[in-house]
Amino acid sequence: MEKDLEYELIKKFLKGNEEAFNRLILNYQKLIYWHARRMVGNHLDADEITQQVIIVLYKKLHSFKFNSSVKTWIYKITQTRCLNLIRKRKLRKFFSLENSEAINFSGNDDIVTNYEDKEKLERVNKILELLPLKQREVFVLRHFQNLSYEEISEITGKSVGGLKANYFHASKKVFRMIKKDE
Amino acid sequence: MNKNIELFIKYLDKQLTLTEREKFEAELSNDVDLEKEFKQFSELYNSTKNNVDVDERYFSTLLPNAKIRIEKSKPNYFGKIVYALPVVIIIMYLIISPFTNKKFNEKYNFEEFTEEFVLDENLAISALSNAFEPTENYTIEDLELLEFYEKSSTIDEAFFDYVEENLSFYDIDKYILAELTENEYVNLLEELESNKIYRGIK
Repeated sequence: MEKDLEYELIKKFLKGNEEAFNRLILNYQKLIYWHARRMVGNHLDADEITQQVIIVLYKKLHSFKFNSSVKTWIYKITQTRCLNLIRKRKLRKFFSLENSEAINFSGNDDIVTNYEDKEKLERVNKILELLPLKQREVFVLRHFQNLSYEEISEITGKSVGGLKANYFHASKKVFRMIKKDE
Repeated sequence: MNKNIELFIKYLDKQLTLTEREKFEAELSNDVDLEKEFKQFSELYNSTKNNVDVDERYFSTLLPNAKIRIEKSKPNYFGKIVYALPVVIIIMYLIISPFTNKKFNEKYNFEEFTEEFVLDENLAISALSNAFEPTENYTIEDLELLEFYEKSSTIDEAFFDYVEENLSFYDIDKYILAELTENEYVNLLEELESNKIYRGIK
């Protein structure tokens, strides 16, 4: 979607046009969902994050600065929620006596219904979970979402140089793990 | 192999300079093994990106579900007023009550108290009819009043009997209050205040 069209939709929504908001969300909801899903690793949490992001957008669009990118703003909101959830999960694991596997989502309620696809997704999730958070973050944004380093830098607030290094290390690890998995 | 992986990653990530890129592409076209290795790498590496089949109906429910939550989270001003009103009333009461209780705090201004007390006859009746039985704290020094009390079971009954036969409300209040000792007067005020009789709340 064109930047100008997005700005137009936001302005219309701020004037009370709900349909403009719907159009904006329909354009981004899959990106939000898949980013969240790759970050958090399961459907239920990704669904919750996607809905939270939509709610935040609805309530905070009035604070959007029209000199910035809608896409990176939305990713930033999504990313913050993903990181919060991952940190909460780590804390739960730390304080819980249950084993870590029990906390993970069992995967019954999912939009991926095909068994092979599910397995494929699970395999990728397991690999991503093994990456340090900083590397996972940049890997997901770069590898799956095809964002530029400049955009990722805007989202994460990290330097482009640092992001490139993190992506490189993450890629090497991912490749080795896939090869080991084969 | 390791060196090649690094090169492959940088190539796919478009992180090679133009010269490096051209050099690598030249190597790829000249080296069959390198080309095979690169092909394997990129296939394997990109396999993570493969799209999966999803139930697309899910995405048509996302926005409506979020909208329901938005509606639920919208502030309910009526509800807020309902909750806020008692709080406001309590706060107002706390602010105003020191002033409304002024007469109770000015415990030694007999005249003023008496005057205010008798302004509203019904209030006075209500206050007296809810009054207490005399104890050792309330000694009735007026003999005439004492006579009435001896015939009555409660002090208020005695007061009314006394009033009926002798005095106006103003007189009786002024008279009775004037008869009380300072301690009795303070006790009477506290009793009236704690029972909220005087303000007609009870």
